[in-house]
Amino acid sequence: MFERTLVDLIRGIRNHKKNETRFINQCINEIKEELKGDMQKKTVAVQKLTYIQMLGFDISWASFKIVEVMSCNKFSSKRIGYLAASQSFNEGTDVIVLATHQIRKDFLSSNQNEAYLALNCLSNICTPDLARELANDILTLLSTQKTHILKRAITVLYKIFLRYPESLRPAFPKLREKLDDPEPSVVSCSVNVICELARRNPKNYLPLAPVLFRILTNTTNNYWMLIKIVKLFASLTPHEPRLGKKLIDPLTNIINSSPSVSLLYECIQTCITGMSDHIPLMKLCISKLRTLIEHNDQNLKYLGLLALNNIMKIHPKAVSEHRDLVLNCLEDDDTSIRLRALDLLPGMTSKKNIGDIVLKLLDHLDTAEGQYKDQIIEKIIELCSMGTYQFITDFEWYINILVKLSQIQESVHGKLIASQLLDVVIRVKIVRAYSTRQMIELLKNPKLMSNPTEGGMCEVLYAAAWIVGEFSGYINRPIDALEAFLQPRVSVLPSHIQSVYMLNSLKVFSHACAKANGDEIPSLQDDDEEEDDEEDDDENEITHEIVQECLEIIKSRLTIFTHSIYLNVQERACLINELLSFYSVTQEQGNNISKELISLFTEQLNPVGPKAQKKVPVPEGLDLDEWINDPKHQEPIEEDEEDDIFNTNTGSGHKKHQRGGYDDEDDEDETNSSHSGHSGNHFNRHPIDIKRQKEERLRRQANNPYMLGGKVSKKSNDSENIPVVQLTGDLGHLHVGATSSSNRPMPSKGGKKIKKHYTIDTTIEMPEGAKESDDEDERDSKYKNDALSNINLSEPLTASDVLHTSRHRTDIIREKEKEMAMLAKKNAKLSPKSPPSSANYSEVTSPEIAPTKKASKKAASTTGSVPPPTAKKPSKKPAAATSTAKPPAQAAPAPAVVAVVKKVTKTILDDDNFKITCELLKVSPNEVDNGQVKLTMKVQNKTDEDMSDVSIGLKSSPQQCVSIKSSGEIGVLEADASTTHTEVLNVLDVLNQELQFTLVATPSSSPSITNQLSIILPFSFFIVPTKLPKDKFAEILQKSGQVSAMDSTKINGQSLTMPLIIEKLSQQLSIEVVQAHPNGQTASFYAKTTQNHHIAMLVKEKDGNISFDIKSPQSLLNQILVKEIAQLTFLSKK
Amino acid sequence: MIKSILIINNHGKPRLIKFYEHYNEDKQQQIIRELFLLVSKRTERSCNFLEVGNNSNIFDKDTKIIYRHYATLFFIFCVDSSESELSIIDLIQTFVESLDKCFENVCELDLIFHIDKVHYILDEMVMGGLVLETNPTIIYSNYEIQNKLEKAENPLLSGLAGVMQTIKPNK
Repeated sequence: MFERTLVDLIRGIRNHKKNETRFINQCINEIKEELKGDMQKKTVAVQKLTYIQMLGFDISWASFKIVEVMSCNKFSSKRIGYLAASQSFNEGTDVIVLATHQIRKDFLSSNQNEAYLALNCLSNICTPDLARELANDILTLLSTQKTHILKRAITVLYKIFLRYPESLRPAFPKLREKLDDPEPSVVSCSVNVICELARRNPKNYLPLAPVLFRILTNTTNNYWMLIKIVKLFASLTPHEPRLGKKLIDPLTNIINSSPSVSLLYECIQTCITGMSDHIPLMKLCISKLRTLIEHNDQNLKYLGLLALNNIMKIHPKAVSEHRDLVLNCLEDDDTSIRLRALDLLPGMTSKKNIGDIVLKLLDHLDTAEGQYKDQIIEKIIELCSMGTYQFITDFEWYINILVKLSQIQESVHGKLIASQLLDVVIRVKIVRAYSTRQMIELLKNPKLMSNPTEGGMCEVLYAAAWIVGEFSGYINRPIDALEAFLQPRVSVLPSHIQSVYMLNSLKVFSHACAKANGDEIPSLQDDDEEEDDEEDDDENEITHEIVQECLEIIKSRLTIFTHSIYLNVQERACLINELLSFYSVTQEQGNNISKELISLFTEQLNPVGPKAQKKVPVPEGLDLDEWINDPKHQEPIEEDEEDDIFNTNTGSGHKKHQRGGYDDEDDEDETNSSHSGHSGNHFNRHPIDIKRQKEERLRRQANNPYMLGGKVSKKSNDSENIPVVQLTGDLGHLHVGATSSSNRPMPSKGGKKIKKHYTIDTTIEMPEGAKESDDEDERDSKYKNDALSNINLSEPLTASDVLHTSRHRTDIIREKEKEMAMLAKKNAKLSPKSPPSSANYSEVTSPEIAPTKKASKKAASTTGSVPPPTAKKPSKKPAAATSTAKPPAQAAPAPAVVAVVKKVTKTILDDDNFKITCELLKVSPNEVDNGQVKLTMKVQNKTDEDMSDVSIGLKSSPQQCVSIKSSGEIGVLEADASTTHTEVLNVLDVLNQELQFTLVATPSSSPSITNQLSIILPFSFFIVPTKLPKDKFAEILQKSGQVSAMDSTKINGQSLTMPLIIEKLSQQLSIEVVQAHPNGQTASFYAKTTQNHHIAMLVKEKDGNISFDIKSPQSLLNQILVKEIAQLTFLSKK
Repeated sequence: MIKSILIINNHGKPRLIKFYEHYNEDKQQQIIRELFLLVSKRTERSCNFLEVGNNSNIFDKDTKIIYRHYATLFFIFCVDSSESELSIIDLIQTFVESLDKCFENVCELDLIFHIDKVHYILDEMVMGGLVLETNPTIIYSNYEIQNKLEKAENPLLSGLAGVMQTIKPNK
């Protein structure tokens, strides 16, 4: 069979436009067959799959075949395989591990191009596992001389850091070196990577500032790199103010002279983030941005506005000078540019020009469409409401604007406009009369009622209806308002709007009655002054005839609503119907209840803070999550309960009528009992019953969104002391909720008379005890919790900062065997091996040995508390035990070795379940197994239940340490009991001082717990005390490679003499002196680790400053030692 | 970092996709559609930047879309804030110039039938989302070296490619 090539496939797809998917599925089936063929066929198949993947087909099923093609020896196949892998592999691809070895092999391929492929592919598919495995290989590649490979290796490092953050610390020095590379493109790549890293944790890279500064000032033509450097500085400057000052000159220079606009632009952005307080520089930036905005190129215009917006946040005044420019951009053809210009408007607005700006925006509204239209509406409202209407001088004008906005078709901002209307009318008392009249017009407007949808523009009617009702005291012709409220078209509006209509028609009627009777209307008392103006042109007094007419209108038109399909509308319409019937009846009897009616609506409303509900303090002792009543008991009383609440709460006959509508299944008796009111059985109930019901009722009220608890409203009475916060949220529902429940829970504000025109009431209701701070808005930065940004580069490297090195399984086994053999040999001999020759021992200044013996007791106890910061006080007993163990070691005549048996005790875990203390003992009868550590862990079960299957297992890798003897699984550990677990370990890797264990336990009632234990071994555990003659010492120093790395540390202000230093170093770190200079200021030291690393140290003491120069085969080792020295008690305590 | 690089034609068909952050195939196609919708609405006079907006459920908040329109193709780069907008515009130019060197008057058909080559050129320019090389000459020469290697290895295939070149004008 002849297979399709890629070209055939593409042609085929183009020829099957109608049933592409079917054709592709057919091809996929063919490909599945081809993948079983030889490498040639496989390659073509994989190539085709890559194309198909682009069209949206999953090809993950072929991952294994892709790896096969990747591993092919032919470059052309390999290339295809790597491309397919780059396009389709991800963290979930399990066969990626199989590719690890191939990638590593290709890194070192003699064909440079294969290394390119591997590096490139790795940068696309890097997983944490791959990163860990290959980090070391990449670091090796960094020392290559081949520029192209080097560039790629540097770039791929970023991905390695991302996926394997632990590699950043050990690898960073090498990356840092590349900043000094003679090849500019290599420097450029390093800058690239560091720039990305610095975005995550800028503080780490502050020490690079001088180097970067040098590159910035010395490079002239590599704009790519300069842009990155400038961007890098933008992330650094906020953390180091001095850097900003230093950058002013070079950046000014670039801004003034650079021919590259992109570089210029980035410089400006950096200046804005880092040097915004340097006024001349900012002025320069603004003037340059002005030229960009005036430029013909749309891109420059856009970016100019973007940057100007950033400046505006810092220096609003300086930017507002360029108002003309920004307003011109509003005319631009490009919406992106117009939107950016809109962003700038808030900074351009003042009392003087807000009118013009808003008019201009209204002009735009006529032609705008879609998203842009909504943005303009939003912006107009934002501008006007800024700073609680600080720019608005004429609120009647603003009400007109809002009315105009409400005429816009197809906008999503109906609710926003509605809430603005409500807010303005509530806050600005003087505008109420005017707006009430405007709102009646709005209610009559048929445009708003055409095609009403919830959330659409008809939402404005909701606000309008509420305003007309609430402030109907200002209405002269209630008939108009009522006709608007009760027109038949209203019944097409969303139900929540209709409800507001219903209740507010009652308000209008109540006010009309009150006016006709000449009753005092309490709610308008505050506004007396305004009302005076009104009454001047008040020609038509409200007469009783008018009231009668109103009553007729309501009665005749209410029928559609009492039969509304919406329950909430129906309920309110019925309520009004009954109330009015009652009114008529009393009227006939000669009683006028208008006063009572109006008293329903007299209390004033204030805006409620958007967070008020949240801030109601929880009363002491109340746990909101706890059941108040056990849920089991509530079932049986549920049904009759409902009626009881009903009786106790209202006791009114009206409800029955409503309830009848939907509670038909209620038992006949029940209804009767509720009918018969408060007589009989209800009062005869058992007091406990009643109490229980009360609790039940309270609980239900608490859950009922329509009930406002009495406690809350009482608490909020003290509204004078309330923090003032700007109101932003949507107020609409809150007001209506309060109104319709008709027992206004919102407390009244003390009646202050308003004398000034346009006083804006900025108070808002907040419950007592609400916190002023807005600590609830937590901003979580994007990178806060990511491991890479949490890495600190400024700390020196420690033993744990090593890259993962993988070794072959057989290597590890072989090593273990060797150790076991050694162990066996040692046990057989039992006698210590003879120490290295000490012929020249006499040359060593000897006084230090005697004190060592004397101080050994003390030493043992001090070392315990030295190295690990978490270490607790060592128990005294072990110290005593050690001292007894010592004499024999000293008694050994010939060797100059003081075998200090060390013991350290510390707590390694203390949580709810376990407390584990651990005792480390260096088992060092001789040198052979000096890496041996005996670990005794005391495990205490702190819980009150038994634990089963308790076990402690060694987790550290076999390269690091091997368990020689273990007390095995603990098994069952009873509650409160403790046990010990011992382990003898052979620690093989000196550079990694951390031992890791896993504690697994299964409590009787919960799933098993796993704890990670980590024990840090003191470095002195790894040192074989060795006395070395000085010629041998010199030999070691001369042999290159033996002690190639050097590090220094200094401790100041110590008054220690050299003999004392020699003594202490020997006691605490087992480092022995080789030779001391007669002047008593210099001494050389030597130590050997269990892995036969030579460590040479030179200590100089001068005027209380002690310097340590350490040489060893590895810098890492030096760093560890430096850290240990810094922690030495005798040095730091004094 | 560059998050993704796409070439989409005037009808919304992808001609090259390269994602430097992982998305599954469905999400990739969704991104292609979304980007095409955004880009196809723009006029020639519009600037080359697009806002994603806060309410997009596909793109991260920190995403800038920078595109250029050449004949029948949109070259779209999605980047984050560590990239400079203007340099990305230059980078698109570099990409097109490199393609031009490789295909001599590059057109959509070249990209359709030589998608692998387009990938190889792109890989010389951007690696794992970081810019590797911005000089079209170097990009082209590196690419050529690898091509020669491939041809030397497989003379038959190169012959076929030659045949392809002659067929192309008819297509």
